[in-house]
Amino acid sequence: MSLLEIDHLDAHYGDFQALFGITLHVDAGEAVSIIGANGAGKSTLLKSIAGLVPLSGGEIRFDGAPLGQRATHARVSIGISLVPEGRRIFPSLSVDENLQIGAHLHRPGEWTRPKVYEAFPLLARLSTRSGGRLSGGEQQTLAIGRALMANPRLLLLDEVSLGLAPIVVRQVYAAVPVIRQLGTTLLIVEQDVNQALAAADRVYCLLEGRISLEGTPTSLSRQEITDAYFGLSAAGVPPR
Amino acid sequence: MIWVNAVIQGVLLGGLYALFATGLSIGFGVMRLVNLAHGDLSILAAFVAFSLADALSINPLVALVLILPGAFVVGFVLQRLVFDHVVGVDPAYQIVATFGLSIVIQNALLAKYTADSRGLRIGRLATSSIHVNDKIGIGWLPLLTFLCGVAVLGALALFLNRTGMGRAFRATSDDPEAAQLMGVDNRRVYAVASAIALATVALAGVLLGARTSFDPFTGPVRLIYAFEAVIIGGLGSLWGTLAGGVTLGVAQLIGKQISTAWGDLVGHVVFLAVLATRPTGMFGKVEAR
Repeated sequence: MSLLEIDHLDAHYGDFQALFGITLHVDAGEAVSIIGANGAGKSTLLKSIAGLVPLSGGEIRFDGAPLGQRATHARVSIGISLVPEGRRIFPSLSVDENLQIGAHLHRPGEWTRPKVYEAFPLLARLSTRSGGRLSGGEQQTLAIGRALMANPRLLLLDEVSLGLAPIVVRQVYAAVPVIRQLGTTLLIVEQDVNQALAAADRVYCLLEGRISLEGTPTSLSRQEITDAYFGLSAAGVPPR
Repeated sequence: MIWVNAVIQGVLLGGLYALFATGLSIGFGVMRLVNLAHGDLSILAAFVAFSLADALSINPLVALVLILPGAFVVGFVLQRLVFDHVVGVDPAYQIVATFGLSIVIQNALLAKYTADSRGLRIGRLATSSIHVNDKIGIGWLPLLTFLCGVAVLGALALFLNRTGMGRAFRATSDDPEAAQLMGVDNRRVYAVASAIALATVALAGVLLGARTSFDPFTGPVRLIYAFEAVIIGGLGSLWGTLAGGVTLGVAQLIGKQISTAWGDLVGHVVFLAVLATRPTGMFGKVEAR
């Protein structure tokens, strides 16, 4: 059975429909990437899994049980954590306190502060620094470490590479194998297609709120991905 | 020497103002809630102390043993029933809801207690003082009030910096949505914040009633002083709240020393001067979201 099953999910922002009948699944232990252009609905999809955006149709099941309108904090308690777009580090808390708040619910598991510091030595050096005084890469690393402190079964990563230098992106993604090794399932939203393909077992492409392509990184051709990404038909003309 | 006395009494009065301001500061800091019924809730507590003292034949200060836990529960329930609906939406709703609550409390008190001024009779403590010299005496009640203010702020500082719930308070103040992503139940944080706010303002109201007279319409003036203390000290800074209260207290009593009618005036002028020259206050750090 899949850890996460999404069945004909619709989501709206007010009158604007952002997602149309999304159906996908993520199996336990898998790493799945969602790619797509700006505004395709990738972040909305992650937010609706985390409970930040209410679903207006369809169903999300986690470990077989429908999530319904369960509150965000209650989803963290069953093992769904989101690393939000823009990192959202708490500026008035120190790096160490940011990690501690990540473990607010004391979910048992492998990830503890020493373990996070071991996996991300960068954070250990910064532990007493205020969260408001970190570089973008440091913030992103902390955001991931903070989410891991909740010992999630499913970790949702939203636009990890956004605004970071390529070398920093590589450093951040270097953590992915470590995270997977400890049994966490990953659902990654990423604009950087190469990074998304490299990190994942399977890929979905979103186009204007719908899934336009699904496959494994090795089975999909560049052309297929480009078409699905930009919404080009086989003839190279935008569909009407 | 009378000026030294004015400053000393002003500092002690500032402790009371800080107690009034603490609850406002918490409400605004954690959930950006401006509770216009804050002053009226303090006067409500003073009236409850009045009635309890009467009914049980106890000292009104002893009644605090019942009033503080009661206020904590009332704050929790008030958050769930009223404030939760107006947090995180257009601030106009907060103004309507809390201003409405203010009117309801004032008129309920008027109906039950009439418009007569009351005072809490706390016995010898009200008049006994430490004799320093012929010009300066430090009243035990103002001194105890000041120490209460310092103790409450100290306890809150420990709570915020040393406990998991306190950390959740600070995280929610920074970014409520991100705090939820950490598993923080923001409604619970808000309810506990309101509970603490109400307990502190109930304490302030009873201590106020012990030192001066009050009637059902005393609340709004107390609210203004509390606002001034918060703004002078700086939003979101606990010790700033104490500094703001003390600044306001000293300004008022120095004003009063110049001319009896000038007490409030000088307090307001100092407040406006701080607002004009340093809008974030002496130790401010919380910004509008």
